[in-house]
Amino acid sequence: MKKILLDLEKMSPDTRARIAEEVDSEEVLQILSEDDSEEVLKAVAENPHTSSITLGLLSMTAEGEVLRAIAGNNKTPKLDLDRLSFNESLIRSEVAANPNSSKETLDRLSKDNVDEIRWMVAGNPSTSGKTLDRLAEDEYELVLLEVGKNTHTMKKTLDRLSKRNHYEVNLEIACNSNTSEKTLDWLSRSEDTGVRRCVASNPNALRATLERLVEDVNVEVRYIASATLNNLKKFAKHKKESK
Amino acid sequence: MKKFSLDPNKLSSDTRARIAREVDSEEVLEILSEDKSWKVLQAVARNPNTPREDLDRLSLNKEALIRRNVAENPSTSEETLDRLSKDYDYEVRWMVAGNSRTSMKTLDRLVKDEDVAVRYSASANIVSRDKLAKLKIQEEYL
Repeated sequence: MKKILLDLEKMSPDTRARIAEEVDSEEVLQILSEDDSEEVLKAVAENPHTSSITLGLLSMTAEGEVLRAIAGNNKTPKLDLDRLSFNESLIRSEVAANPNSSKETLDRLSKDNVDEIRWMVAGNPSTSGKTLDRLAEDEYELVLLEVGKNTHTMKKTLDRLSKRNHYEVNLEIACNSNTSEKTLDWLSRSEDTGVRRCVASNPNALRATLERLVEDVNVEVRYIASATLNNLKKFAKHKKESK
Repeated sequence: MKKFSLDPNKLSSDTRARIAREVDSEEVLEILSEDKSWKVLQAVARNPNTPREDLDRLSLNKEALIRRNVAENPSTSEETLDRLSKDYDYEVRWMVAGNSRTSMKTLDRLVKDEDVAVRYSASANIVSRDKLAKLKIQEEYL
């Protein structure tokens, strides 16, 4: 189908917003970023195809929902996200969850008074190991859960956190692909079946740990540990054959 | 505000239908009249800015809903309306019977239609034209 030439002034704000939501052309989104309808600007700010330059410029004049959408867009430049991180809590929360936020911005937000913001930082894949290490001492439980789940959390942090014996946090650590063999071995002796089940499914667990879990009291743990061991054997065989 | 061109295939059928409802450019309507979605075609068929040739083409569509919208459109030509007045779908004929562009010849035939709603609408259309004609004559002589 041919392209169509549209005159935006002839379209209703609803239709312009729908176009801004669905279009993937940076050029069209740049034109729509000058719209006077907040609904249209919000759709531009949320669109993953909006260019960094457009988002940066829009962030200078936008407010409310539009600003929040800009703070949540992965393409918003680091510098603009840093500037937005000094705004109201709803906007700070979007910056804290944005994987494009810089380590420095996330580190500052990790000291925020609002629990939800620290929670977002803890779950952000761009948060540094050092920041996550500090967050492992947080008093808000959901922060600890995210630290335990985050694959960028350092091995030593996960190990220390596992010693708190918090069931749900240990569940996350036992499933984390960055948890050390030593920590997994320690967790495999947990009283909680759920934690042992996660260790049994973790391919990073030591062979000896998995072999012990094959004889676990719980049938599900035994079954999962056997399956993981089999998969590891198959993988090793395949690797050897391909060499 | 600037104009811009975009590929309608990148938009959902709902958004294309919205555009087809609101746009007044014949070029855009001509392109959208070849859309695959019945929702878009329905909106094109209803838009009074759609060129007659495109309305004529849409009047041959197998979807009665689209033909109904062509039959109701004030920009549809007398010839197309006359053809639609013989449509098997009574709602299409009903729309033709109520259209201000339908010729008297076509309306005379529709007054004898098998469907009561079509007959009523065609009669009302003829009467309203008579009244309008009388009003015009009165205005001229008073």
